[in-house]
Amino acid sequence: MKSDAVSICLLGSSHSACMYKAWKERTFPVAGGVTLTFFAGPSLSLNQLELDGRSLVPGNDSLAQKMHLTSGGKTRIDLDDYDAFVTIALGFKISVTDFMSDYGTFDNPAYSEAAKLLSRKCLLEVVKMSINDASFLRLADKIRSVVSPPILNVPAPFPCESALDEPQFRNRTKLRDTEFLQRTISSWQRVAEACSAAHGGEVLWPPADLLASPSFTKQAFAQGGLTLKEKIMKDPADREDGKHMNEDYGYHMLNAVFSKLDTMTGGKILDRSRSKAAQPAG
Amino acid sequence: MKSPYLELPARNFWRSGVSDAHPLTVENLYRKKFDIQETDKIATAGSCFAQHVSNYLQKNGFSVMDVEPPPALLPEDSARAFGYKIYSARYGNIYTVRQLLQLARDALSGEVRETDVWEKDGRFYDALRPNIEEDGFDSVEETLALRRHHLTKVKELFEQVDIFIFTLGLTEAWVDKRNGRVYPTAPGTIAGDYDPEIYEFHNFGFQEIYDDFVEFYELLREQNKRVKIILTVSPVPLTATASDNHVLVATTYSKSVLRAVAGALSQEYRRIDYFPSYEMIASPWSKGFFYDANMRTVNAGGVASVMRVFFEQHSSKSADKETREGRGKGGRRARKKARVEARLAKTENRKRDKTQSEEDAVCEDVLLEAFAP
Repeated sequence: MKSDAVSICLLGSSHSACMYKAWKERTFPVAGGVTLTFFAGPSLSLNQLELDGRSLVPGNDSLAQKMHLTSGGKTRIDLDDYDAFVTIALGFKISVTDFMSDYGTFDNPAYSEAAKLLSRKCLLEVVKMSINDASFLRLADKIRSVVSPPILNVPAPFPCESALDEPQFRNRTKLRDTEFLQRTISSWQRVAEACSAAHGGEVLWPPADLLASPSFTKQAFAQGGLTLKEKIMKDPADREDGKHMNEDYGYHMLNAVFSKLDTMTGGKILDRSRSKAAQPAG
Repeated sequence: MKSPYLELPARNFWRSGVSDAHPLTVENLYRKKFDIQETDKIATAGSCFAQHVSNYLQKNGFSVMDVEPPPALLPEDSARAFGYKIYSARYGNIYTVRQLLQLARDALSGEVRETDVWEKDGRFYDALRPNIEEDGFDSVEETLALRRHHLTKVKELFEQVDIFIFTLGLTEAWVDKRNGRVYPTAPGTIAGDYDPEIYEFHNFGFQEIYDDFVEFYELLREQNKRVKIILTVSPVPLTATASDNHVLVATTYSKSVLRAVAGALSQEYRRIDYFPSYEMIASPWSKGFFYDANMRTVNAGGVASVMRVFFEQHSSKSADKETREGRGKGGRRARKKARVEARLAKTENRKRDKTQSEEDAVCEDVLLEAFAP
């Protein structure tokens, strides 16, 4: 890896919009030569990336168009050009409301009355299978078959804490039990990390200061959540779907990405001359 | 001179019914006692042969119950490894009638017992369905919670089922002397330890099995007056016997007793039918044709032939089509095709290694082979 010019390739779903916006609008404590190239599209569409020699190329025109729009004109990913790869929410989602909306385990009796009761082992298998089938692992395999720089996998944000007010979750006391959530999410995270490692990647979880509890994002980061559509149309909406996060979230996540990649690359990413990380603008 | 045999149909005579017929194309082997409507809710249970029946019924458009479906995100293979999608509830193999009766009593009372939890290497197993979690549960408490949940689902099944298909598998069982509980596997096979002070071998006899089934039937009828039962006897021989007999002698005893019980029940109760899958597979007629090379597990051709006979009498819309093809103008051609397919299936089955063929159905007793000298 060259110390003066570090190219990072980010491949992401709509959840990459917040990071893209942050990268464009804010400053980061990274070395001068660090460049980012985003390739974004709906999560499943990136399954259409095909290996062509030492490049990833779109399998159809629609994906080619999305790549062109989000990368600033590129329609192929020449793998040798990049020093690190980051996947963002490509089918990678750890969600207590998804995995446990219909199922309960022995240690969360609040669910068990109404839900299908599973063993903890079986629930972990559900988590493992849903991750094993995700786009980011297939993409990691394609990358790994050609090059060997670091691959960092970033999951979709945890849902906004406002989800707890939705009728189906309102009475689920366990979703407000931090100790239970921590224990549950930690076990799922270990499964995800093992899956990721088996495909040559590492995982970056959202930093604790973005979270309201171990599996919900602070509401402040969901206000004005960004999606690809808004990014492409240059019209950030002031809205909140509870799933997509805003530029502030993107800023914090991208800082975490740089910090992790710095460790993974032996200190090639961060600007050592700066004493502390830049603060979010505004 | 008149003879009572004079007016009997061809199926009543060995030469026309068996010698001149072929197991792949035989007709009128089975006459149903009652219809199965497409809307009828069918539940299956029993020894591992019953798994094949369940699969075929589902594929042929029957409404097979599943009161404990797997999580939607769990793929088929993983679901089966966790005991889902094998039977209508996650009860695993029910080899003996006493085990079935015990399940019904438990389901109605909701009672769970710590003595039914066996431990191995720090993991915990539901001794009454030890194969549903390959690696066991985290704790005794989790095991019992899952069992309690299972029992509520089994009770639902008993309340809703229209047709209960049960395959009688074994007469041999292991019993906890302290409380009379019977288990599908010997302690020490999957989990637990064999302690002769606690566990003893028991080989059930005709009267015990008959009485147990009658009690089960009465309990079921208390929950659900509509229910009808189809009994089959598993043609799969014992993997091992704990009796003093040679395993072949023990198998003959076991299957004979079970067949006699099934026959007696179907003669005495108008809502209990007997389907002769055992005869098709295990009789000298089929010359072992329907068994794998180990002469124990039933091959795909055998299961298909058995189910063809079943669907000849109980046909859903989709099965109707296949049955008509076997009977009408193209009947001879279709039967010839069936013969060729079965031959191919047999060749194919021989090619498969033993392990693979046994994976088709989930059978705990296969584990006993590990203890063979």
